[in-house]
Amino acid sequence: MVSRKKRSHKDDAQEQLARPWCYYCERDFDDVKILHSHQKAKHFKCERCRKPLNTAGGLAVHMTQVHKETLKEVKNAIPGRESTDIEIFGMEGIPEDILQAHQTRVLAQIHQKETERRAAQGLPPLGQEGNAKKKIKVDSVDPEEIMKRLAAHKAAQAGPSNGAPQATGSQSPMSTHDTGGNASPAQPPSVMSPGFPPNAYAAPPSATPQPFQQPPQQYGMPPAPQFPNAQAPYGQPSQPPPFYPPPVQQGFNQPPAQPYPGFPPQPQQQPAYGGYQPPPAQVQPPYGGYPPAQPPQAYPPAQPAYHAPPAQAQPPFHQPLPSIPQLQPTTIAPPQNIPGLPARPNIPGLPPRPKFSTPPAAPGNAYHQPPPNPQPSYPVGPPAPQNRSTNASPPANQFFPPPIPNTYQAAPQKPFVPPPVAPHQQPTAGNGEVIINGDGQVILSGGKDWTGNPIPQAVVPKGEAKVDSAPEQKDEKKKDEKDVAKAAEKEDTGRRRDKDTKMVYSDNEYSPEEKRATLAKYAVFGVRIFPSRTEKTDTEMTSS
Amino acid sequence: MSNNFEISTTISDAISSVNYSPSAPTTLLVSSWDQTLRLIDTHAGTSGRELARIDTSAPVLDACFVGHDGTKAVAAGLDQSVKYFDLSRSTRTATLSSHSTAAKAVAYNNDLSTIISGSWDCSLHLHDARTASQTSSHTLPHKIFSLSTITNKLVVAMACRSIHIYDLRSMSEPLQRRESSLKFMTRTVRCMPNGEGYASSSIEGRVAVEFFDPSKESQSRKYAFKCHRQPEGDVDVVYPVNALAFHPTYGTFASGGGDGVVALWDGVAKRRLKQYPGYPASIAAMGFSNNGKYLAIASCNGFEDGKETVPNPENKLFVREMGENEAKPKSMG
Repeated sequence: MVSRKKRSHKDDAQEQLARPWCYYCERDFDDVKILHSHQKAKHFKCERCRKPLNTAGGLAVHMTQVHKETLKEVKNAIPGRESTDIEIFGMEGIPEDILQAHQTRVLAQIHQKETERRAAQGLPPLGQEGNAKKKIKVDSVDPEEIMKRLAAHKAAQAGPSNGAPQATGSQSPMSTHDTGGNASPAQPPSVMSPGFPPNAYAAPPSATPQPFQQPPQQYGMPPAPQFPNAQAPYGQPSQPPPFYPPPVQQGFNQPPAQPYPGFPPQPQQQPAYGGYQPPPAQVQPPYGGYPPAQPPQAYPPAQPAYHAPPAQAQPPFHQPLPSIPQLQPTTIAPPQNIPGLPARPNIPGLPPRPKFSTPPAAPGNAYHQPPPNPQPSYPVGPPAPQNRSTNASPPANQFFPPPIPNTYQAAPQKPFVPPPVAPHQQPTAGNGEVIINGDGQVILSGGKDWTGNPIPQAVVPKGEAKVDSAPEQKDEKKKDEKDVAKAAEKEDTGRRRDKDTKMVYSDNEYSPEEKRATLAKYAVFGVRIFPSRTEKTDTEMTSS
Repeated sequence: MSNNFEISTTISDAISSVNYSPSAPTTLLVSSWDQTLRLIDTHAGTSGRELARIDTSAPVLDACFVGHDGTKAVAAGLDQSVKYFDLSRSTRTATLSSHSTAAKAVAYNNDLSTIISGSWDCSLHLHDARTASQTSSHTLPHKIFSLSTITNKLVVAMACRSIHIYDLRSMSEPLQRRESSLKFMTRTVRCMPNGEGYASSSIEGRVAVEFFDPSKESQSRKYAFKCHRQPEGDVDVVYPVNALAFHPTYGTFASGGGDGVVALWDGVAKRRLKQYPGYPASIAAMGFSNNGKYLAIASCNGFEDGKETVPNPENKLFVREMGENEAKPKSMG
């Protein structure tokens, strides 16, 4: 229930924030079109002739040209917003500071409403219920208890831990953590770590010592954002609690952060980790190819995280993936981000990465989908980098907002991009970009470039990409482009008229009647009137 | 709803002017280069009937009714003469005066019973309509292209974009000497029925609206606008605006261009009320009936539409019956 309420609350806030509003009177509207009509009718209408203009500038020009008056201020504007200098069209042109002020105001209003509602319903004040509970739980877990739990967990995991024999030493602590996690579902991170630890542990040893250490911490950490406390306890067993905060962060930042980032966002799911623990082992098999290779390489840490995530993450991943299915790169991107990033930073061996790239595809259900996609190259590592940047990034953002960008750049570049795949990816990426940026037309052009096949794909990705990544942003871009295009057209037309005109009668000295009078049939009357002049004019006329 | 119909005539050359009678709403005076002056009842039968036809022995460049009973007219001819006609007795003709070249324009001021004629020889002749005699002659700096008069004012449009405004009661000096606000040759000038100002048109598809009052406030009200242009590809073809006609009661005005289009304008709201395209040739002349219900439109091939060399030029006369509120200006906001 809590989660639902929270969601609804967030959704409301987002909806409220997304509503277009009028710069001049702070009114909000359901639709940008309505906003435009509002501004036309309320703020940009000429008082003299009631002609609605599109912008304050347009109205000013209209007033000066048609009525020879100067527009002093925008009508019906709230104090301080009457300036005609700012070119406002719908939501465009609003100064950043005012935009932010509006957002904060909206949020404040929403918050107040929510608090009032809660007060009326007797619910705990906003922001305290979910977090408070979690915090309480976390707090409740003392290091000692954790230790106990770890011990219990070790015992419990004796079986599962076998799966990852290599890093027994490191694992053992992890396992303990896991147990703790199991004991307290509230502490998902612990659960996460348990499943992963085997792989991660194995990997760290093979990799450099530093990365390893970090990874373990990372395990705790990634989920940590909320769990930090819980993690601390976990980490503590092996190391003193103080370590957790700093080390964890470090570790996160480097490799683990990427994989985890996805997880952390889903704190709620974490409890699921407990259940996942078994799966991790299972999950590994699918990755199977990956983990084995990885662990030795140092990837393991990253992988472990992956594995864990796959079980847990998969649900979320699937969501993004389905939308992205066609955009294999995007799908790939997520996996890359997670595994690739951690491994890459450590990067003992580049080779593993390619594996990762492939494996991620395989592990993720969505990944399987990508292969079906027409472009085989994409599914592999290469497409991911570029695509990720564009398409993939959006989904990634949802799950792993911060880490993705870095991971993308770092990881994809080395192994994936360089290979032949890269070219393919580039085109795809290009398509994706094109699609994003431009409307149907742009897409078509991109498709042409590709050749026939890509077009349909490109088109599909557009829709998906939009959904996945940042539809709003894309839409805005499109709108902007449209507007710009419209403006350009207007300007062009205006220029054309001014530029190219052809006068049917261009003689500025002799009137048409005079010319007519020089015609032969009127010779009796007029020829003598302007003989020489008319001749000149005639020649001019013919020449012109 | 407006009804447009063609008047069947035997006019064989370009029409130079159309004027509705000041007394009868359906009687139209038509002057033509075919050396005739015709009186037509535009609403007799389905396509009008010719009431009278007067041979002027020279192409008529302009004509107008004299007096307020619609029985007399004056015509400016290519033969340099300004002739006075009694329309009820087509045989009676009198020559008021002679210019040194073709007389281009004539106008009649009912308030002062004055007939004004202008010529390409830069001279302006004033005549007393009651005595049918010339009263004065004035030399202007440029060829006279168009005349229009209202109350005691006379507006003379000349070559070189020069415009003089006279007080008919003291013609020694022009009231105002103006340069047209249009950049090209003035084609036509017509005074507003309320006597506040005038509209002028040029060969470059523009119409200017100006006011007599020399005060700054009044002068700031003047404006000009583009019209009678038709895009052909990337080029805008600009036609001369040959004819202007003010609605006698509403003060709106019609413009006729070389593109064969008639447009109805609200000069106060600065809006176009109507546009009537599709006339077969350049609009040469227009005139509203005294009750404002009918608009006579003359359409002729010529230099104005770049078809002066057409073997069988069309010279047609149309009458557009204006709807109840068709020419009514839009109320101000």
